[in-house]
Amino acid sequence: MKHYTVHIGEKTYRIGVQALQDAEHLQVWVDGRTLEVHVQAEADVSETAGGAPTPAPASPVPAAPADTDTTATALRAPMPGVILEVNVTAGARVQRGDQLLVLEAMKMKNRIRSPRAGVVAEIFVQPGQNVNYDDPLLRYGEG
Amino acid sequence: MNLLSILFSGLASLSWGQVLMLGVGGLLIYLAIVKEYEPVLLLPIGAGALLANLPLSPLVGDGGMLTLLYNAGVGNELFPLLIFVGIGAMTDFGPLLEQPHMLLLGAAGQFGIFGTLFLALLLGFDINEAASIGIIGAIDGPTSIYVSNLLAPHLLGPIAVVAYSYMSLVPIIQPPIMRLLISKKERRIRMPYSENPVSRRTRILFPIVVTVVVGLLVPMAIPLIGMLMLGNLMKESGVVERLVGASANEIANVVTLFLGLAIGATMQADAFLRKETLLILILGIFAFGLDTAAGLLFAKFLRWIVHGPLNPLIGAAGISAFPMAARVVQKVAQDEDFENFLLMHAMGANTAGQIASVVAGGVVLSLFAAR
Repeated sequence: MKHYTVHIGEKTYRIGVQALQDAEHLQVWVDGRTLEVHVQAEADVSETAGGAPTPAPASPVPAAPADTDTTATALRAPMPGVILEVNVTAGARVQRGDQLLVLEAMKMKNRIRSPRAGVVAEIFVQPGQNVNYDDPLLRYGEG
Repeated sequence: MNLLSILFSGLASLSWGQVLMLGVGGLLIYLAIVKEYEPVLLLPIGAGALLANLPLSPLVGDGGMLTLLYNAGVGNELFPLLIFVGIGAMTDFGPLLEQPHMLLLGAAGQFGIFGTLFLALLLGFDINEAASIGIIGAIDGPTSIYVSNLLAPHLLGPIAVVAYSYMSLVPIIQPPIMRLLISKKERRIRMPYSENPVSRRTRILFPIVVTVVVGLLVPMAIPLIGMLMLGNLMKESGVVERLVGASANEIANVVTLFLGLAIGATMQADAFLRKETLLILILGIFAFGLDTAAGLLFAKFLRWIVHGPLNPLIGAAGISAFPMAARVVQKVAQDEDFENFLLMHAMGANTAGQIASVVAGGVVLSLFAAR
C-alpha cells in the first residue's frame, strides 16, 4: 500500500492507495474512509462506492482528469435493488440529508439521502425500475 | 338438573390452570394480531393453545385433530424439515458466496447456544433439557423445534414459543447491545459494496457441496442441512420452478399452520405452568443477547486481524433470524451515517448464520442425543 499526503486548499488529507484485483481497481483510504476507485484506460475516474462528501476522492489517483463529467456529479446506487419512490423532481434544490429516493434491496426499504447540497439536474430512474450496484440514479447540476 | 349438568359439564371441569392457559393463548393471539410478532406462527400457536385447553376438547386426545397433527408431523420431525425445504427455496445465498469470510461471523453468532446451555445446567436442568434450551440461541425456529423435540419433548411448547416470540423482538433486543459494545467511531466505518458476481455453476454447486461436507462432518445435521439445501438447489437450478413455488409457498404455508397448531396444543396447563417455563423465558433472552455480543466482539477481533474496512456491527447479523438481524445492522449503521450501506454485508453474515445454526443444531444433537 502506498501512502500520500494531499493538500487541497487549506485542507490536508492522508491517503492510502492499494491495488485490488488489478491496477485499474484501487482501494483508497481517505482519512479513515475507504473508497473503491476504478481507473479506466482513458483516464476517466469513477468513484464506485461509499459516496463522497469530501472533495478528496477524485484527487488521490494520479492522472485524474480535471474536468468532471457525470461520474463526479452523479449519485449512484449503493447496492442492487428496485427503485420504489422518487421523492424529488429535476430542478429541485436539496440539502445534505434530504431524502431523494427509496431503494428496496433484500425486501428492505432504504432511504437514499443526498450526500451534498445542490440542485438535482436530471433523474435517471423511475419507480419500479431495477438498478444494479453503481448505476447512476440522478445527476446534480450547477447552481 | 341432569340437562343442566350436561350443558355445563365443560364449565364445571374447567381448572384454574386451564383458565390461565386460555389467557396465554389469548396473549399469543394478541401479540400476533396487534403487535404483529411473527404472526404466521404465533397466531396458530395461540389458537392451538386455546383449543387444547378448553376442557373436554375433542381436538386433543385419541383421534383428536390436534393430537393427530402432532403425531403426524411434530413427534416424528416431519414438519420442521418440510419448512426447511421452503426456507432453502426462499434463501439467496448470493451475499454469502460473494463474501465467504462471513461464514466466520455466522459461527460466532452461535456462541449463545453453548453459553446458555451451561447456564441452564447450573440452574438445575438436566443435560438434554439444557441443550434444548441452549438451542434457542440458534435463533432459528424450526431448528429449535427439531432439536428440542428429540432431546426434551416435554419442553417443546415453551421453547418454541420463546424462540418465536423473541425472534420478533430482535429489533428491540439487539440495538442496545450493539450501541454498548461498538463505539460510535466503529459504527461509522463504511464498507464499500464489493461487487463480486457469483456464477450460476457456483450457486448450484454450493448447496450440494455444503450438504456433503456438513453431512460427512456432522451426520446428525443431515436432515436439517439436507432439506435446507435441497430447497436451495431447486431454486438455483432454475429448472423446477413449480417445485420451488410449491415448497416456498403452498407446502411452507400449510405446514406452518399445522406445526403452529400442533405446538400450541402441547401447551397444556400441567406441562406449561411450571417454573421451568419462566426460566426458559429468561434463558431465551440471555441466549439472544449472548449471540449478539459474541458476534459483535468476534467482528471486532476480525477487524483487528484483517486491518481492512470492516464494520463490527455486521457481527450482530451472524445469527439465524433472517432477515431481521441484517436489517437491524443496516438501521443502526445508518443512524450514525446515512451514506453507509451495510445491508449486503449484513445479509452475507445473516445467511451464514442460518447455515451455522443448522450445523450447531446437528452438533448439539450428536453431542447429546446418544445419551
